[in-house]
Amino acid sequence: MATSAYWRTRFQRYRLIGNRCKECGKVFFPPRFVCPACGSVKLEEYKLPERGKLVEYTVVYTAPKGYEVMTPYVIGIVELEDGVRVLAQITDVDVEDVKEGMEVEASIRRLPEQLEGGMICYTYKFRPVIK
Amino acid sequence: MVSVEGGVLRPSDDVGIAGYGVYIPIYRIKALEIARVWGKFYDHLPVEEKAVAGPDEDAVTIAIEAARYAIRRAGIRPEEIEAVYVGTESKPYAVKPCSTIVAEALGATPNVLAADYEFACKAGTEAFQTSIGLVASNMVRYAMAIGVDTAQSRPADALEYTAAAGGGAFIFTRRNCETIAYIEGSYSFVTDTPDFWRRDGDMYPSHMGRFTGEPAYFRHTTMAAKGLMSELGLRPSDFSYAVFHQPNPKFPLKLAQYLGIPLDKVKPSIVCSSIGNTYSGSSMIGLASVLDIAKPGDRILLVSYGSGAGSDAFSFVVQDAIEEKRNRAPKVSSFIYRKKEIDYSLYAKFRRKIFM
Amino acid sequence: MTCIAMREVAVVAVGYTRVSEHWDKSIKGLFIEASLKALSSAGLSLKDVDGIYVANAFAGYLQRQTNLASIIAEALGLTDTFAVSIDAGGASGGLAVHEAYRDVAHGIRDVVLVCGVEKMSEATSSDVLTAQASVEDQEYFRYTGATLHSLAALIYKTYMKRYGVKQEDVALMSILDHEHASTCQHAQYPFKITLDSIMKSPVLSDPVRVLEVVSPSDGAAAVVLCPHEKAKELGAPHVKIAASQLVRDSFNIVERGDVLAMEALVKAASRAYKEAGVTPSDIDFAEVYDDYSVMGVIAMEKLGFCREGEGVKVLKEGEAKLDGRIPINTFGGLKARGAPIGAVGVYQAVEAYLQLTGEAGANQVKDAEVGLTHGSCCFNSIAVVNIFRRCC
Repeated sequence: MATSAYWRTRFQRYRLIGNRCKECGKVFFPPRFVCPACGSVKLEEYKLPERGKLVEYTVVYTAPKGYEVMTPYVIGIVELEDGVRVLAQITDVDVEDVKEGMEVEASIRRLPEQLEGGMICYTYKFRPVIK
Repeated sequence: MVSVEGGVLRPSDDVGIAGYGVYIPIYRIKALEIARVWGKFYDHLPVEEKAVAGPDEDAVTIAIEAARYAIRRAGIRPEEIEAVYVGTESKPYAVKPCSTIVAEALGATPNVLAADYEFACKAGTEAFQTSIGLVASNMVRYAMAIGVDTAQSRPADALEYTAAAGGGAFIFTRRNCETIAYIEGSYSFVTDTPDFWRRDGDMYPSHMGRFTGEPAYFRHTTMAAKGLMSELGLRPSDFSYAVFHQPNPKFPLKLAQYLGIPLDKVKPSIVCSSIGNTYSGSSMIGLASVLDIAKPGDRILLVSYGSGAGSDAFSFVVQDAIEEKRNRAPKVSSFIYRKKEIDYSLYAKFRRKIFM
Repeated sequence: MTCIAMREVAVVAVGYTRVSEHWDKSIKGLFIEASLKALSSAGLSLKDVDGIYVANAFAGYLQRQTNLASIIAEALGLTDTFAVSIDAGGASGGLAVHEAYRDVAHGIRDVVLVCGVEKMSEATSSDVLTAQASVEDQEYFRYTGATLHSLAALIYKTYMKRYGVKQEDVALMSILDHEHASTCQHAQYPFKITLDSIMKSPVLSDPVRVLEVVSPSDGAAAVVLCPHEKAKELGAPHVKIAASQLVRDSFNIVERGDVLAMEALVKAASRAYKEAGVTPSDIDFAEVYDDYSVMGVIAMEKLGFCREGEGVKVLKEGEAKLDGRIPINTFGGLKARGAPIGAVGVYQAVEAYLQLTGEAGANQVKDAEVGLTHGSCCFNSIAVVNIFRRCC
């Protein structure tokens, strides 16, 4: 991926900014250009909540090059407090700690993958809520 | 503007801390495990264990975590922050600011001052002073100072037992009923003392062994602390707590003896035994540990130390808002108890000490 | 929505290479081998071809070769012949057949060559993983850290929970594929496997195991389409295309609401049945897109061969075998015939032809009259359903 392509997605990666259809209210993450539900092009920025529950997960043992340092890692579906579901890595957990329904919150982490010239990718992951 | 009276920096307008937050990675390696790998005697290890950044963490990610908790405690919107300073000596990029990434991730961009500070382990308190100055001069309403490190250490070196990861973030604003502590003043003592350094291109820092003690750490911290007390007309007994930079658990206790401060005023801030030396994060996490338990009216002495060398001393007085605000985000103790022990092989994998 | 067939369309010839690791053959070489075999079997020559659809998913990534259709047409010496590449991941082959079918049905072209080709062997397995994931929306998918295996795993776990089935049940899909491939000449893995070997194979993304997943393959398959009337004139064995439907859905399985819904497949199937004037019970065999064992099981359900959650029952009771109620993946499916991704849909069309012309040999489904093929990209974010019918 080009550095600029990565840069364009910074708000969604850093702050979980998706968008919402002004006509029908449907929320999208990642943000969309057109609402697939009603066809409207009037979409407004929408900040997703940063907390949610883990709905389903899998443990990844075979991953693309560069991710060896992360394996085994967890990919899960997180249902956020407003009901929107996102796909994300669950971090700071041992495989055996992961439970469905566990409370998680967004955290910015770096990907093992680097862009041209060593540019570092930062993105949201979710980790257990720290009480 | 900040008035200068014989070396003390005292804000002409009162400045306070609006919120603070820390972050310590979940992973720990025991000093015994490191000693086992290198075949050392098991006696007299400097710390019990140290915090290790996970494979997806670095100074930027830790800074963002701490900063988000600071914002939560301050109860402000990220866009209200007008300055973000990140003090660290473990920048993921040699050239490219950490502060821009942190500010963007928080949502403080684009109308924000942002810069990285570097002064070994006192880069964070250096950022304190800049933030205090900007707030006192009414140039910004909220300024954030972060001290964070994922400290590097050469395998088998003495530093490997302690070089740890963690950080803290503090938001400064004009003193009001919402601030949790206000600043009475600060005092810095800086000389050219080469006790510890890393040249460009070197993976790990070099240090001068015992030279890092008396002529470096103790001289600078003592002079800064004494200078501050003398300028502010305070005595050691005026402080309820003292927070010192903690490269190991012994140095701050010895410094307390030098300054005539009872050990039980220092001990609440000492977290080094369980998380190691978090470098620029050390004074921050120490101060946060005390704010987690302090009562309104308590006076706190903070003395940082950065190799190279210099020391910044501060006096804070705790305010009423602490009682409610401290509970808005996880305390230092939560991070200390939240841990996963790893062995040396996972440590080597996480910190990319295995050549791939 | 529905293709209004002006002319009846026939598949009049097929040609294919074995699915394998063809170290000595280039992407062009594979294509030409399959295409020439197809043309000559119907007594046609390159000069008769007035349109070429090239189905391919990964040449742009793995061979750094874009503009594949022109490159291949040129290699065939056809400089002024219409040639277009179709790139839709695992739906490429089915979609290429769809395009050719439309051209012929509407009288735009008479003899159209459809050839799917893929060459995955010469890339590292890491490159193959990245290429396969490149069908997802890169500006989103790349930074999630997810893999296709992990998405399949999420679907798999949801499926097992909802219907109370075990992995040992779902994995029967791979056993079925291998059983059918064991007598298939063109299969990449022509041998049987056991449940024990599947359950002992490494976990890629829990619960998905190596022996439930496609492997990188090389291969090319070609079909020649023409009006039914012309097929009769040529005198070569031929079958009719009774329906061809393509439907799409969100790439992001999490956004779909229910990860098991597979709405695109449900819609494509129902439209295809309507177009062909048949019901699921009229289908004599089906080639389903089982890039993961669980996806094959789900496909059987969504295609209406059994009720939701009863896919494993079909497998357990042997109904999907060659002599069963609804034979599935009669030459080994993606798992065992092999999955040169962009070519899969054309291999499926070839297999439908072989069944319906009675040329399926040991894999022949008795009295097969109507066959169905299913192509998919990104867990049915694109679903293609084509239906073929025997000509008397």
